Amino acid sequence: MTKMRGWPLALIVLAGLLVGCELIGYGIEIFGWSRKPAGETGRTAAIKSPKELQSQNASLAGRLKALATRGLFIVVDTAENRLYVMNGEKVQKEVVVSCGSGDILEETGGKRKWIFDTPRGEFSVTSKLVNPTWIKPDWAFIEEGEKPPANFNERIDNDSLGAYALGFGDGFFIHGTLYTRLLGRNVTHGCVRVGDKDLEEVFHWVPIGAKIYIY
Amino acid sequence: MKKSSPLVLTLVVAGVLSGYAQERADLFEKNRFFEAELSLAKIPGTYMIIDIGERTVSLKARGQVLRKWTIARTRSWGKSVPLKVFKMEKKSALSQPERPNITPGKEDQKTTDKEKKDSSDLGVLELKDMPVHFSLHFGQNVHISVKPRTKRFWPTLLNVGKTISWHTILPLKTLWFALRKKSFTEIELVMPSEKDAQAIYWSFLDGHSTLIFQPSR
Repeated sequence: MTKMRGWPLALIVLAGLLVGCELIGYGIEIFGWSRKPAGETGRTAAIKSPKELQSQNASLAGRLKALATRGLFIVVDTAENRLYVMNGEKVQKEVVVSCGSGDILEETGGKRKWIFDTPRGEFSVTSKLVNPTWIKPDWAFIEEGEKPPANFNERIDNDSLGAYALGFGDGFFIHGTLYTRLLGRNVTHGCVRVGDKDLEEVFHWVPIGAKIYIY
Repeated sequence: MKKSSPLVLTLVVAGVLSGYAQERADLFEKNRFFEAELSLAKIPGTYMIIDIGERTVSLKARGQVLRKWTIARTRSWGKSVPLKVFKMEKKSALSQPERPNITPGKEDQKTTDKEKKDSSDLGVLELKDMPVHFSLHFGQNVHISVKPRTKRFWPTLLNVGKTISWHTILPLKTLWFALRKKSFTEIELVMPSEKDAQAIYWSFLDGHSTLIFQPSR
């Protein structure tokens, strides 16, 4: 018999180890340790018949469906930079937008810090503004390397938000933009920027109180 | 022929009873799944459903699907995940995406300047910056690792490494947890593309309520 040396032997040992590990794992799963989680035996199953369970499942599915948002609502996909106006399960309109950049701004001296994310979760349209005015917050000046002004009038900006804005709380808006070339990219300070023509349509469709889901 | 009739009858009855029991168990599982989802759908906000049986990951709110991803392949080690609401505790990846820092006053970081810049280099955090290989940790030793189907060299190499670890480290880990009588579950989701894997990373937030449905068959 010829002696096996080097690679062939190493490969056989490795294969043996692999098979050994795999067998140990499967052995435990099959013989020593049930795949069923503890306490997950069919309590109700023992009492209810398949017919009863079927009707209960249909009722639960109905209750789940009844929770769905009625009327028009907005869905914002921050990863793809898309805004959808939904009517039930139907997409009424799909719009390319710009969402939060995820950038961090830290004030010199490290006193304050801002993270420019678009907030995610469930919101509602809280305000609808025509020709909105942006009251520039402190970060807008700090980002530019300027000191936030004490005079309120110096914070007023009548151009940046476009012709319409839908507020959804905490100073966040779905608004128009001057920077249309950046639509489709994550470049904002947290607001959702929409092209003016698309926003006009969305603005007129969606009422105050309409749900906004952002993910 | 006559002698074998009782045996055939017994087998048929046993088959019917077993089918009946299985149907009831499946319906019961679905029943518990609906109840768990209903408890989530009543709360404002989004939640995740990882349905191993249907091979889907859904981002939902109020019972309605906001976004759905198809899983190309899935496998698991350890115990089945109990049907209850988990909170996603953290995400881990070999290279975590880093948030860019804005230097106050620096010219090319203002939006007006970004408008003029080459669009590939905006210094922002986007979907393409998300990792394609990562793990989601849910507490109670429930982990979900995500990897993509890919043809690129480095992700493929990482996939090979993960496969070796799947067949060596994970069985031993299963043994280790079984000896300590502790619960342990590792599920692997293979996504159809790198972009899908990145979108899953993007969409899962720390503390996200998640329901993992792993039917027994």
